[in-house]
Amino acid sequence: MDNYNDDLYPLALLMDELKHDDVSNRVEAMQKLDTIAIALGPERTVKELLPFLNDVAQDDEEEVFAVLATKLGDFIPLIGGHENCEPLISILTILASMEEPLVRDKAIASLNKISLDLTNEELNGIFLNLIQNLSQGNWFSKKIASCGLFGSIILKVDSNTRKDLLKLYLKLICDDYPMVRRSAATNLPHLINLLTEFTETSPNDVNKINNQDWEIISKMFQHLINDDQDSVKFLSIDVLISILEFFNKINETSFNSDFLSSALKLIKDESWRVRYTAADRFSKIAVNFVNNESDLYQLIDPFIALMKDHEGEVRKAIAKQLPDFTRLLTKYPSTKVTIINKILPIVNELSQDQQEAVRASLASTITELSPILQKEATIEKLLPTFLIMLKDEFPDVRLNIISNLSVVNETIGINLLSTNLLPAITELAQDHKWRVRLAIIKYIPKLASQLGEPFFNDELLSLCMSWLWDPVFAIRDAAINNLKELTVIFGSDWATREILSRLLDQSDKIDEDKIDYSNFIIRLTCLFTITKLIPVLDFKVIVEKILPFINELITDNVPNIRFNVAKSYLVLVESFIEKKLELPINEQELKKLINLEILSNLEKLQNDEDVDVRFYSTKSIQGINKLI
Amino acid sequence: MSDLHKSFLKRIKKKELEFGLTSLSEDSNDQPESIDQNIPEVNVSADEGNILARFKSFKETYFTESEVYQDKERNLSFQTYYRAPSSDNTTVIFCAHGAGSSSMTFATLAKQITQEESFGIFTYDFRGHGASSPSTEYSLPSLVEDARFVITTFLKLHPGNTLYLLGHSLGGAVLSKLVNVSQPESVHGLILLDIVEETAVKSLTVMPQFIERLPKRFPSLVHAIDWHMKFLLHNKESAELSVPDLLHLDKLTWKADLSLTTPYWDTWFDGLSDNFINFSGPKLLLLSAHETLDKKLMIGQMQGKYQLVVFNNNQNSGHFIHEDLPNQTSICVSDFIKRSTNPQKFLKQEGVVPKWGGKIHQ
Amino acid sequence: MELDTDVPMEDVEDLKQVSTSATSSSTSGKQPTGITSIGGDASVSDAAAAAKKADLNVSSVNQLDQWIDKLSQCEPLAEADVKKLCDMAIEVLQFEENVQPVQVPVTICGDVHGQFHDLMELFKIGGPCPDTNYLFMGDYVDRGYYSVETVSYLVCMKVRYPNRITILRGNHESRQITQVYGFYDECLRKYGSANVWKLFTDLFDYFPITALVDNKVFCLHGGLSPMIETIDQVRELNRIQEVPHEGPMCDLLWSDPDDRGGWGISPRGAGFTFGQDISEQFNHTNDLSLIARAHQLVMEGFSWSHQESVVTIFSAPNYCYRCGNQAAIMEVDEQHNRQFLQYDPSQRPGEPTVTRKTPDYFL
Repeated sequence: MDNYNDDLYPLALLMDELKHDDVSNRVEAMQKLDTIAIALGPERTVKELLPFLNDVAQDDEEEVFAVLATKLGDFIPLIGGHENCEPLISILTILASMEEPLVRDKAIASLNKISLDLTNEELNGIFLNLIQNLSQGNWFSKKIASCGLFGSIILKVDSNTRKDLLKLYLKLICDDYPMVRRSAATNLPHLINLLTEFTETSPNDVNKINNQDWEIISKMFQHLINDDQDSVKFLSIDVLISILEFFNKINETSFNSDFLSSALKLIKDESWRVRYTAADRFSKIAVNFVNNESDLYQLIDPFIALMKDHEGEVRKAIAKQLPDFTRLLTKYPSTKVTIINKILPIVNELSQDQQEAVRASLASTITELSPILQKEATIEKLLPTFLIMLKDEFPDVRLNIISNLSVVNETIGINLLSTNLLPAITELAQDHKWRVRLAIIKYIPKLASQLGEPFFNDELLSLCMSWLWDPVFAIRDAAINNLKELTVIFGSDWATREILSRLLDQSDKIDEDKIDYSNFIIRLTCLFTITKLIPVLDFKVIVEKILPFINELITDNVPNIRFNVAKSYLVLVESFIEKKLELPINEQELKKLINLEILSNLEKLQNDEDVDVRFYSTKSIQGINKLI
Repeated sequence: MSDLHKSFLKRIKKKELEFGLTSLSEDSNDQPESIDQNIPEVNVSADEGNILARFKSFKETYFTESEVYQDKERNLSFQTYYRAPSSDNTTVIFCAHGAGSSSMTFATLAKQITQEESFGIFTYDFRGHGASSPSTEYSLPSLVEDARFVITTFLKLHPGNTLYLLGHSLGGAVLSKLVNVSQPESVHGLILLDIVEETAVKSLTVMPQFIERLPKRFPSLVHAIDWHMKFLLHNKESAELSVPDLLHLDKLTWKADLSLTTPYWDTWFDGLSDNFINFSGPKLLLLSAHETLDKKLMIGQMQGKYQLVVFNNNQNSGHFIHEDLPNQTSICVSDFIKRSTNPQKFLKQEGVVPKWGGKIHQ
Repeated sequence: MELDTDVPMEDVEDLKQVSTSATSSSTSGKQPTGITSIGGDASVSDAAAAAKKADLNVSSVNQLDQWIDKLSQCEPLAEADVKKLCDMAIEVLQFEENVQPVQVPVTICGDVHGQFHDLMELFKIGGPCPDTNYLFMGDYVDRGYYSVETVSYLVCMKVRYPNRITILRGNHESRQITQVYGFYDECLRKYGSANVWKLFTDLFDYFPITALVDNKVFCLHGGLSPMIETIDQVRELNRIQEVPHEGPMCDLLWSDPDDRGGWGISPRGAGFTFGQDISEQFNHTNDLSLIARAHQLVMEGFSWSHQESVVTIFSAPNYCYRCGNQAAIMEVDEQHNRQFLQYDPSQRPGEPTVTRKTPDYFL
C-alpha cells in the first residue's frame, strides 16, 4: 500500500477492499464510495473512479451492485455537475439491465433521481436515447428497466415525441414476456397521473395532452384487461383508477359507461387475485362513479358479491372498504336504502365468517358504519353484531372492536353503548390475552367521563381497582395511569374516597377486602399508584394520607421499594413547588415540612446498605435542593 | 434488513447446493458453469493407472468380505462390503449412501475409523447404484425394504453384532424410516450425515436442473475426479476412492441414472425429521456447514433429544462431510458410539469418575 | 453486621447456619450480601470489598444510561463502547461468585437467544429492571437475530444495577458454540470484524455459573453433575475459562432432568441426564427447596419435573421464530411463593422471515 502515492490512495484502498473475499467487506467498501469520490475530487472521480466502477458493475455480486446503484444516485455533485453525467448514466444502465430486481430497482431509482438534475436538452438527448435503447433491448430485463424511466421524461418532451414514447410504451404493454408486461402495467398509473397533473396545472400548454394520447393509453388499458396472465391483468385496476381520475378531473363523463363495464368485468374476474385487487381498491373505483346515481347503483351488487366471495382474502379486503363505500351510497335515497336492506345482512354474515382474519378485518371497520347509519339503525342493526364480535374467540377481533368504539359513542351516546356493552366489557376485562385487557383499560377514561361518577362507581370502579393486582406488569401500569386519568375527571375528593381509602386505610376492612401487603409487588404497586396520583391530589390529602404511607415504607425489607420511596419524595416536592401559590401553607412552613418529613428521611436512605437506594436518595436530595 | 435477508437466502442457497444432488446454481440468470470445463491436459494415463490401482487395491484388501446378497423373492441383488470388527468388539457401523453415490463414498471414513477403533464397517450399494442390480423403482418404501433385507441377511450371517446405522443424505432418510417402521433389535444407534427434511425437500426443486447439467460421460477418470472436486467434493484422497466406483470404468459413464429416480422424490424425505426424533436410541446428526434445522429438529434439539454437531467449515466441506472431513467425522462418530455403548468406560477414559448417585446408565 | 470475609475454611459450617437463621427470621431483607461469600474461590475474599465500593461514579452512570437508552431501541453500541462496557463488566463480574447469592424477591428467567423484542416483552410482563429484580439463567445469544443487542443490553443492566440483576452463563455463552449458532456471524455482520465477538466471549468467562436464591432455590443453566454433590463443590471450581467439553462445569451448563432415575449419558453428547432420585438427594443434601434451570425448550414456557423438585424455565417465545412455544418467567416473592407468567411473542414488524427466496416476478 505504501507504493501508492497519496492522491491515488483512496482509490487504491477501494480497489483493494473490493477484492476482499468476503462479500460483506466489499459491501462495506462500497458504502464508502461517496467519501472516496469527495477525496478524489470531481475530475478524478470522472476520469478514474467511474471507469473503475464501470468494470466493477460487471464483475461482482448483487449485494455490492445494490449498494453501488444506490450510491450513484447521489453522485451528480461529486462529478462536478450534470454536464458530466454520461459515464454515470452508463454505469447505472448496466446495473438497471440486471435481472436481480433488487439491483435493478435501485439503479432505476438512481437514474430517476439523476434525471432531476438534467437539463431539458440532456433529457431529450441522453435520457431519451437511453429509454429508447432499453425499451427495444434484446433482453427482457432491459425492457423492464425502461418501464421505470418513462416517468422522468414524459412531461419534458414535445407532444410528438410524447406520442412516440407512448407508442413505445404500448409495445412494452404488449410484450411477449409477462415480466415486461407486468413492469409496464405497474408503472403505467404513475405515467397517467403525471399526464393528469400536467393537464390540470397547464391546461393551455402547446403540448397539452390530446385525444391521440388518450387513444394510445386506452389501447394499453384494453390490452391489459384482456391479458391472459392474472399477474398482469390485476394491475389494470390501478390503471383504470388513474384513467378515471383523469376524466373526472376534466369533467369528461362520456366514457363512463365503458369504464363501468370494464370495472364490473374486473370485479367479476375468474382469478381471485384480480378480484382481490378490485376489492382492495373498491372505493377508489366507486368514488369516480358517484356523480351518476345509476352507475353507483350498479356497483352495489358486485360489492355484495365480493363480500360473499369464496376466497377469504377477497372478503378480508372488501370488509375494509365497507365504511368508504357505504358513505358514498348515502348520496342518493335509492342507494342509501340499500345499506340497510342489502348490505347490512351480509355484514352480519361476515361477522361470523369462518376465517378469523376476515372477522378481524371487519371488526376494524364495522364501527365506522355507525355514523353512517346514525343512531337508530346503529342500535337496532349494529349493536347486536358488536356484541357477537366482542365475544369472538379470536383476540384480534375483540381488540379491533374495542379499540374503535369511540365513533359509536359519538353516534348513540355513551349511556346506550355502555349499558349494552358493559357485560361484554366486564368479561373482556378478564380476557386471557393481556393486550385485550390493555385495550379495555385504555377505553375506560372515555367511558367514565360520559357515564358520570355514580354510575361509574357502581359499575366499573371495582374493575378498575382489580387491574392493579393483575399478574402482568403492563396491565398494572396501565391501571395506575387509568386511575390518574379518572382522578382528573372525578376530582381529588373522589380519589381520596374511592381509591385511597381502598388502598391505604386497611383498619376498617373485612378480610376479603384487605390488601395483602406482605407481597412486595402489591406494596410497590400501591407506591406507584399514589406517586402517580400526587400531582392530581389536594395538598391536604397528600400530607395526611400519602406522606405517612410513603414514610412507612422507608424501612421496607425490599430495596426496590426503598429506592422507589426515594423517587416518590422527589415527585412529592416537585408537585408542592409547582402548586406553591395554591398551597394552604406559606413558604416557610413548606420548607419546614420538606426538611422534616422528606429530606430527613432521604438522608436516612442515603446511608442505606443498598447501592441503588443510596443512588436514588442522593439524586432526589439533589433534585429537591435545586427546587427549594 | 435486506442485507440480512439476503445473507439468509445465500445460506439457504448454499445449503441447497450442498445437498448431494443439487444444482450448480438455482438461478437461471447465473450462467451455468460450463460442465465441460477445460481441465489442463495432464499426463492422464499415468495418473489414472495409479488411481485405479489404489482404488482396486483398497476395495479388495480393506474389506474382509465383499458379498452379493440375493433377494430371490424380489429378484434383486445387493453388492455389500464388510470389514469385521476386532475380536474384542461386536459393534458394526452399518452405512447407507445417498442418491447417485455408492458404497465407496464411505471408503475414507471407514479407513479413518478402523485405524483408531476396533469397530466393524458394513456398507452396500443401493439398487441401481454401484454394483447392485439395476432398477427403475426408487420409492422410499422399496429402498427401506432393501435396507431391511440387507440388515436381516447380514445379521443372519453375522449374529451377535450390535449395529449403529449411519446414513448419508437419502441413506439417512431410508435408515430413519426403517427404524420408524420397526426397529431391528440389534440396532443400537442412528447417525445421520448432512440431511434435514425441510432443506432436502426444498432442494428437490432444483434437482432436475442439476441432473440435466450432469456430464453424460467424462473424457478421463482424472476429469471425472476433477469435476467432482470442483462441484461436490473437497478431499482429493477421498474422491480418488469414491469417484471410480460411480462410473463404468470402460465408458466413463454413470452407473446410476438419477433421472429414473425423479418420480419418487416426493416420497424420499417425507417424515424424516419425525422418524429421526422418534427413534428411541441414541442419535447423532452431523451437518456440514451452517445449521438449518427445521422446526421439528429445532424443537428436538432444544429439548436435548439428540446430539447435533455442525462442522462450521465452509471452505473445506460440503454435503459429503464424511468424504471431505473424514478425520473429524470419524472422531464424532467413534465418540458417539463409545459413549452410547459403554458410558461408564467411555467416561473413565475421559477421566470422569462420578462421585455420587450411582452408576451411569445408557 | 459486617463480616470479615477472610474467615478460615473450617468456619464455613457455622457461618452457613448464621446465614440460614438470618433468612428464616427474615424480618430484615438487609442481610449483608457478603455472608454467603465463603468458599475456595480465590476471588471471593474481594467480594465484600467490591460490594462496598460498588457506587458507580456519575459519568459511568450517565454513560450506562445512554447506552441502555440506545439499546432499548434495538440499536447496537459502537465497538469502542462495547470495549468500555466489557471492561466495566469484568470489574463487576469477576467479584461475583460461582454460586452467586441472590435475595428474594426475584424474577427468574430462562433462555433468550437473541430475541431482543421478546426480551422487551418479558420486561413488560415482569416489570422493568431495576424496579423488578431479575435472574437470567444464560443463553442470551445465538439463533435469534439480535444477539448483539440482547447481550449488550443485559450486560449494561448488570453493570448499571449489579444488585438488581444477575446474569448466569449458559452453554451458548461460549466461543465454540457461538461460532456455529449465529452470534459470531452476527458480530461480523454488524461490526465488520470479530472484535466484538471476542470481547463478549472473553467476558462470558467471568459470568457466574450458578446462583442461590435465599439459600433455597439453586439456579443454573443446565443441571446437576455426578461430580458435584454439594453446592460448596461448585464454589471450588475455577470458572474463569471457556466452557469445557466435560467435567463438572460443563455438566452444570449442559445436563437435563430425565424421567429415568439415576445418572444417564446425555443424548446431547455433553452433560448428563439426572433422575428424580438425584434431584431429591441433591436438594436434601444442600437444604434446597427447588432447582430452577433453563436449557430445554418447553412448549408452555415452564415445566415441572421430579415432583416439583426441578423446574425448567424457557423465555424465548416462538423460539427461533418457528417453534410455536410460549415463554415464561417465574416470580419468587419474599415468602418464596412462586408465580409463573406465560407470554407470547411480542407484536413487532416482521422479523426477517426464514423463508426461501421470494419469486422475482410475483405481484
